[in-house]
Amino acid sequence: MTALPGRAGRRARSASPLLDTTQVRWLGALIVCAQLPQAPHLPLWIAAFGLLLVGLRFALLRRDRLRPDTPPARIPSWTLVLFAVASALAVRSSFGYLLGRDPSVAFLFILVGIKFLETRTVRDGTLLVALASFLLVTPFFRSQSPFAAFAALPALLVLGATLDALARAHPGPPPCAARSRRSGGPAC
Amino acid sequence: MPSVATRVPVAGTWARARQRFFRLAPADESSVVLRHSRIYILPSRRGWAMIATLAIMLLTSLNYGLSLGFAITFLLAGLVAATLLHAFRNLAGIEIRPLAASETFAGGRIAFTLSASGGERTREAIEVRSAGTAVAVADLPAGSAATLRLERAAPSRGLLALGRVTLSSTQPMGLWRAWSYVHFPLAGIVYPEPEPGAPPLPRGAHGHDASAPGMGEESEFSGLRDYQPGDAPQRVAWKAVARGAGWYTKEFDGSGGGGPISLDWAALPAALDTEKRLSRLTAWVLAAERAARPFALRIPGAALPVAADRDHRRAALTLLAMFPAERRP
Repeated sequence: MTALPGRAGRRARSASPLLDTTQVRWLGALIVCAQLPQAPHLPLWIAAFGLLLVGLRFALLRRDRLRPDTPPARIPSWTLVLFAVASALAVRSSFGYLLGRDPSVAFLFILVGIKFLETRTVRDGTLLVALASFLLVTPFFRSQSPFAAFAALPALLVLGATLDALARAHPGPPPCAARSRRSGGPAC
Repeated sequence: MPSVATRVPVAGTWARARQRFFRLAPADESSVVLRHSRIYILPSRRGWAMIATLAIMLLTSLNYGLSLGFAITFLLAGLVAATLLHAFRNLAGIEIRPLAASETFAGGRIAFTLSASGGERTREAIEVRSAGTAVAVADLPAGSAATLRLERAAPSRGLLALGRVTLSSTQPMGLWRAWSYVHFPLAGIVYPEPEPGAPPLPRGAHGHDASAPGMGEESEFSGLRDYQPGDAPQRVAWKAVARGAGWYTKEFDGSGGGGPISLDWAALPAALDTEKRLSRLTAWVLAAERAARPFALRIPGAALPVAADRDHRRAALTLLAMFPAERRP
């Protein structure tokens, strides 16, 4: 019984393949789509900061594309822990408390951005998809108008596309292979 | 050429059930079409993550009475359920048949080939693996068959079976892993490793020098055959290569090259153990074939008469490969 899914899954955990550029872009699009309906209900600085984190990753991607010979930009993970702790404190001081519905939603909003900033592997991508789907429900705490339902639709569509992009992961494609795959269509 | 072992009948209720679930015995017919009774589906890791997320979303919607939360949760649950069906459809109906097992020498790699065709639908990212082989990933275009090649190391001589093959796929969206087992009685022959630096061929029956140049003047040209890796350069039909007609090797009638020789197990030095003897005899069979000399082979329990064609060579190598390990002369 060498091929039971459990064992294959454990092996995948030890070496989850890296995300290629297309997958990172889809994940970014999904997170922006999931953040935007929630943003009007949050304090302005939280909304701006959460979206800014996503924008920062896209800026880094763009920098990597323009200068392919330099090593890709890396943000060390310990700074992200600092980010998370600092934003938790900031959310607490903004709301006056942290353990409650609204500050938790605000914290999740920022946390998704922080996680996206350090996302490298397909496993991280799966976690992000889960976080983004949950974030999609949170605007309904404040409003269940038809407009709120309409605002959630783009994220649902992008969610399907992101799952599809993640499933097309081939073990370790270099960035140039990813580019040719895009131009060659899904057949490759 | 494939060497196909006999199918193994499975008897007993419990054994039949195990066989039906896990396909542990090589009991499949020459061609298998994957149907619902063979396809297993469980959530992949991403699938479990999505299901857990959906459960949390459901709890949140229940707790806070979010109607739109229910709507989104059930919509996504519908997506997960729909991909379950598509994961099944990606495997169902694939016809897979065994093609061939290669032959190799111990220490080399042996290759098994299977043919898979997806029928009218295009199948995406079908992963095929068996114990000890790397995963082969193939897209099966609609209406055509693809050849899947599974390679594994062959450390020791004898019959090497392909074993149970797992076909799996996580397409589409990677939420479910569908898999199937097929177990063909396909086995390849691993010849003993030729002894490196083996002594020259024993003297022929006619008293010719064993180290005489392989292709004597008296050997008669009998025809061309396809070039095989390892053929001696002086026997390659270079004129054909230069014309661009392809690679061929000149074959000569067996009488050439210094007369028939006898490869005899009993004539080997007593200090050699079984594996060493087999290894040396293998090297000699190859040397005799290269020198276009007919040979006879005598090992305990079997003997081959004098001959020189390729079938004879294969028969000799097969005898050496299948020689029981524990038997002593």
